[in-house]
Amino acid sequence: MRFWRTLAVHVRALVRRRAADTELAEEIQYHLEREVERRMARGESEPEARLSARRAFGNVTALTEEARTASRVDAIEQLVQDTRYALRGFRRAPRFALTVVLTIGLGIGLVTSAFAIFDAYVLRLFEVRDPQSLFEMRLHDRWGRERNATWNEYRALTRANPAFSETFASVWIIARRDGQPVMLQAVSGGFFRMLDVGPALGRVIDADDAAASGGGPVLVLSHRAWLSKFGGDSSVVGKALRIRDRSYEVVGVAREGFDGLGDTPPDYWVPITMAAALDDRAALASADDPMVKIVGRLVPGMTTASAARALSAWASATTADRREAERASTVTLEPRATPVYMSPATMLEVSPLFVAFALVLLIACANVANMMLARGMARQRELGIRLALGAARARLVRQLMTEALLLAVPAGFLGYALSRLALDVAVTLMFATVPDTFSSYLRVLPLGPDVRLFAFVVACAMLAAVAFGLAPALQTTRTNVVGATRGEFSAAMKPTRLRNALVLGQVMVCALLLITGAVMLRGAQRLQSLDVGFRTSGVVQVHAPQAMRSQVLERLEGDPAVRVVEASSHGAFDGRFPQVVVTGVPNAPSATASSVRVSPGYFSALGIPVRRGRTFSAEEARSRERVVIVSEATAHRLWPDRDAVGEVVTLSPAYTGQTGQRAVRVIGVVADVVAGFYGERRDHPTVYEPGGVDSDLATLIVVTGSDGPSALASVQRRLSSIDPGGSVEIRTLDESVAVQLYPFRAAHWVASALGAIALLLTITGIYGVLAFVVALREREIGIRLALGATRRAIVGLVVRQSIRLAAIGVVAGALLALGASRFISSHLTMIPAFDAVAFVSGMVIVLAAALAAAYGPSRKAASVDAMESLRS
Amino acid sequence: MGDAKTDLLQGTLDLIVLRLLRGGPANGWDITQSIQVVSKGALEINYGSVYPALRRLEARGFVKAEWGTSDNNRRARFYELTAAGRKQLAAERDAWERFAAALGLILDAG
Repeated sequence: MRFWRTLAVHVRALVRRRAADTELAEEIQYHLEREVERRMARGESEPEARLSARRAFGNVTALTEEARTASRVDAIEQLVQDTRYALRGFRRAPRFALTVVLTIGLGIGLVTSAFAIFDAYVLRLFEVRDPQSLFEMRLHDRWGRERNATWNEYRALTRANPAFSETFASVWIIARRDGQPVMLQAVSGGFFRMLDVGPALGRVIDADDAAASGGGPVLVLSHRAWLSKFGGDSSVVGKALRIRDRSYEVVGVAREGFDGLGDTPPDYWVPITMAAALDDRAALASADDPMVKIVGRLVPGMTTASAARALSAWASATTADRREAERASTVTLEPRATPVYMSPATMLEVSPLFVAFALVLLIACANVANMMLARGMARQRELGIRLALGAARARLVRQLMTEALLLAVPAGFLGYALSRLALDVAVTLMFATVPDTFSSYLRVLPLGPDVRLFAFVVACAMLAAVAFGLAPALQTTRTNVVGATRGEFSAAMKPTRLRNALVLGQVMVCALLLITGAVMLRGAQRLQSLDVGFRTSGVVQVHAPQAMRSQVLERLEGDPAVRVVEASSHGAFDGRFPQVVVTGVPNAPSATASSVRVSPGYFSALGIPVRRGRTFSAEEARSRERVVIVSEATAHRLWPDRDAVGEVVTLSPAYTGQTGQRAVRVIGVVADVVAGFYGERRDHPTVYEPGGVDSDLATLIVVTGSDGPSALASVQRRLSSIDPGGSVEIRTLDESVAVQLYPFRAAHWVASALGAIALLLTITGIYGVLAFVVALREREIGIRLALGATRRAIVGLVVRQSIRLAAIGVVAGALLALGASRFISSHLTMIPAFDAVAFVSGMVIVLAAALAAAYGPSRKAASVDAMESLRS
Repeated sequence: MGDAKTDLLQGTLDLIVLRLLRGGPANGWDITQSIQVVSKGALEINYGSVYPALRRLEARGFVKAEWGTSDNNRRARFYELTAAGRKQLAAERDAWERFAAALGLILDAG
């Protein structure tokens, strides 16, 4: 209360100085009049009374001036004073000021970079009408599996909706133009109107465009694609673009700043009625295919919980007449206000990443706090004199805090600049290091600054100032006045414990980051050298639409660079294979296995050894004979003590509701391979069923004579003549591996960079503390030397102190790292919960750094001249 | 010394004003009258110096001011103690008493 009132007075005094002056004049006028009246009532004449009243009042001008200055804001004046004082101090010690600004700036820069990404993806609201009322609808079946909505369901929803006031449907499609992938979002007619997004040029898609299936070959460019792909040329409107063998008229460019409602900005928007033409899978003609995503605007006043309930009821009723596997029993709603929705639980999951960044800032603060303490000690005399002259301790603390803030402000600016630079470099690096084929799919949201980011930087700077300024300010002003002016430091004034705690904390955090970095590094290495069990080099996977398949095959077989073409129903590294339950007959144990249909030559083409029995014959492949080949893991699981060949098993889909239970005979056993994403375990059971190359198996496996880019180029050249629209997907296996390894490599680089910065800061921190301690103890060291201590013993003294601090810190850090790696290993299967090598190496590095940091100060201590130091 | 007037000690006017305001809200002129009445005219002050004192106290948050109507129906600025002002008064009063007692001891000694 008092604070606000005082503030109000100050503000009035500053802002309304004239009004305040008028008030004062009025008050004085009133006083004089009352006084004249009083005196006249006592019998004085009016002129007499006026004169004496003035005399009794004193010098009006001088008093007015005094009153004016009295109300003029002590605090602000003090601030100006403190600022001047602090700046003078910095001018005297520029190296100190510079070091602080650099250290804190580095810390703030790191945290700000992380926040900028978080801000762009999680916090920034879409620039559309009322983004907070938008929700994406997710359908789930009775087993909890999620699926998209069907076109029919969407249409039913537009007719009668229990929870949304308006909805739009969309389908994501990746097509190819001029060899580059383009992201298309096919949207229903109301999309742009509902989001209140207008054109920058031409017009946007409206309801008429998306009126009939297969109609409306028009296209709206995103502002960004317009700039990057068409150079901002306005004559592009009205032109025709060819995508997947169909011509589209460019009718407009969407307004700037609209990047769709997802984490990947689309390049083009087309009417959803064109989806079938663009993507052979997404045929709107079969309106019961689950392929559209529905986003709706919640009816005002309705809670998400009640909306989800209403929609769940609607979904159960609408899908009641479908097959059991296609029924939807619950609907969940996910906010679509920001690119990435993070529930509090997910937020908690990613928080360790932010903690890692924040820890570096904390180390930087600890470093600076230590420097401030040392500086405070050196200024003990000055502070002591000021205390002796009657300065209040609170006033001194305020002054030291002003200093801290003055250092934090430029550090904030520096940090901001550093974060801009770091993000630019990081994005460039990412595009440069990501595997080629993948980089053209990468889209990064603008990480540009906004109000939140500035607020974050300011908050960081303030917090940092408190973190590195407050404790030293309190500590150094706790001074024995008499002693300090004489230059004596009592034991109580040496803030040893605080300094030790700061160094200990630094070492701990540093060890934590380095060990975690080492764990990630070893994980990435392990992944890199992972044996997937089959050949990847020189192997190209081709995904062709069924209609083009025979043409594609013909081309491939005519290519001299191609050695073999085989096929499988599921591409390698394309995610988890469909799962089946394999049950031995009769009543043997069962196992859940990945299931895939492959052509007879698949195993030899990919170099998968056959352990027992034989592979499929051409006849079995053609007729899809009921025979299977199982992986070693499957055989071991089901028949641990006998030969699998000749056994009969039933295969049934892992989820009830799917049809297709079948009895099959095992004809062979092959070695275990990775079935699914790179990095998944090889010992997951897998069963292979036969199929022909020229049947409908989705993926063609092309083995070429050469490997790497040349293989890819050759296949691409061959196919481009028959596929100008780019509907055939071509990828080498090596590339797939590289793409899937990339996140691990990136994580390892980030962790290592953080660890390195932390290490650097810690070394300088330990060095600073030891150097200071040595300087303080110079006289004591002199006495020791005079009493016969050897130089070696003195060096030992300093080194021991460093090692003691470091050892405690390292152990504490290792304990924390244990928790961290446990957490990471629960999310990434390739990371073990305890990696002894990583732990030991991380700890050794930190201890070695502590030793190195002790080198300089210990030399200094050993070179103390006993006579010199005793005389002083 | 009889009716000789005493100059005010530096800094004590603020204390006096605080004390007088404990009785309730008052305007500047009221305060000068009270000083005369309570001290029986023994203090030599310029009435005008009450105003800088009031401004000072206001800036430090010990009093708050509001325009009101005086007993002769004119617009006047009325001052009132705040909670912080009350605390400050008690603190300064203690300090003063300790100081006065110490000074008394010294002056009366031997």
